Amino acid sequence: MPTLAVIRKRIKTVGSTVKITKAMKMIAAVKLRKTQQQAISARAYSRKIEEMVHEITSRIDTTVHPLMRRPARTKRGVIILATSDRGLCGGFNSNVTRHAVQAIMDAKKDDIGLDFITVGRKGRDSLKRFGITPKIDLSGSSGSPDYGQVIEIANIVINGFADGTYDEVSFIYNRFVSVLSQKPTVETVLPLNRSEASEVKDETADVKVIYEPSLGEILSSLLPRMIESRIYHTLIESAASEHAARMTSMDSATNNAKDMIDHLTLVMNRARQSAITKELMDIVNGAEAMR
Amino acid sequence: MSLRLTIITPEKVIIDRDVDEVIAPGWLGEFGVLPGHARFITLLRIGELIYRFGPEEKHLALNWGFAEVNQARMTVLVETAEFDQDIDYKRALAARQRAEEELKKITTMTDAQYEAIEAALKRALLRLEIYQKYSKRPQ
Repeated sequence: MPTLAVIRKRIKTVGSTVKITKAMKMIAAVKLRKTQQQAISARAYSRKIEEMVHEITSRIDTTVHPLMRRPARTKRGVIILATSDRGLCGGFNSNVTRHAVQAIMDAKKDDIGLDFITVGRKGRDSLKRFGITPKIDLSGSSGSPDYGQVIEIANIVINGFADGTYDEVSFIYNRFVSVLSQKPTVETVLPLNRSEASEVKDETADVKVIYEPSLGEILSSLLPRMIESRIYHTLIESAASEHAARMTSMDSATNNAKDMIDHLTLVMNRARQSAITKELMDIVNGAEAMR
Repeated sequence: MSLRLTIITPEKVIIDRDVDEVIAPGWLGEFGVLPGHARFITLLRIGELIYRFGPEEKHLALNWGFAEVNQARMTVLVETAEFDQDIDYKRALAARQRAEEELKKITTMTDAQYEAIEAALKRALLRLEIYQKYSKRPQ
């Protein structure tokens, strides 16, 4: 049985762990709220831009635009992998990394070239174990994505897709389902979904709209912005998932540590009790022997 | 009849309110919008957007964007929009200097590079112009 002093020390250690996990949980909760706010204020822009693209694509022949091209076969793809910079957030990173590994295997099997863009230090590090260096790596701000970062990613994927370097652009990230659940998701960014770019000309659409300079030029200006907006949205969602994952895992860590303190307190009391009993026995025995 | 002006950037909604008149930097030149305008979609240049409501007149520096106008609404999607009083004068000065230096330094460059530097210079000049024109603050 461990001595009293050892147990006391352990209780103290676990106690300070509780303090840390509790603080981390609370910080994550605040950050989650902030990120959710960010997501809400970004919604107006993304909704409007999607609406406009949809309207314009319904009016003209869209197959001419390079971002609207549909490669018959994928020769080279690029994956944007969104992870966190720090750990202590449960299965957040390992879940998406598993999908990334799967994608690497599939690409190898089908003989498809694959590049990576990583957001977050953890994703970069786990790719390194496979000997893969990401094309670009944006680490250091996974918790609060900013638009400059988004433009950097968007430029690479948009130019790459338009000039034929990449035939497919996808995202691997944690989708925010609820505070308690985040779903690792693989999503295709380019080529655009058929339903998103309506290919049937909508004859009933109001024709009396003035376009300056022209429909085609507006579309080529809009499409990259729509993709930027989608990337931004996905990064925000990943950040929200990160904070939520950290919050729940730190909450259960706090609970586990508290259980451990309870258990250790019990053991400590038992040890103290037996020490007292032993001392008493010594005294009684001593007194007996004196007689 | 009124005109509802909404200016949205990727990060947030800048304004969403009723106004009397808007003047915006359209692709083919500046244009004014009053309530009851025909349906109209245009790209915007880097330039100044002015809106009036009664005696009130506000000025914004716009980066790339586009506008959709119909009878009662005008929606502007832009990358950045700043009110004259929010412009960071020092930063704009620094940006102008940087852009000018880059233009001098590089002798051969691609069109895309030139366009990027030119756009940066335009943005900086616009911010300086709007700031100097309207800001009454001591510098």
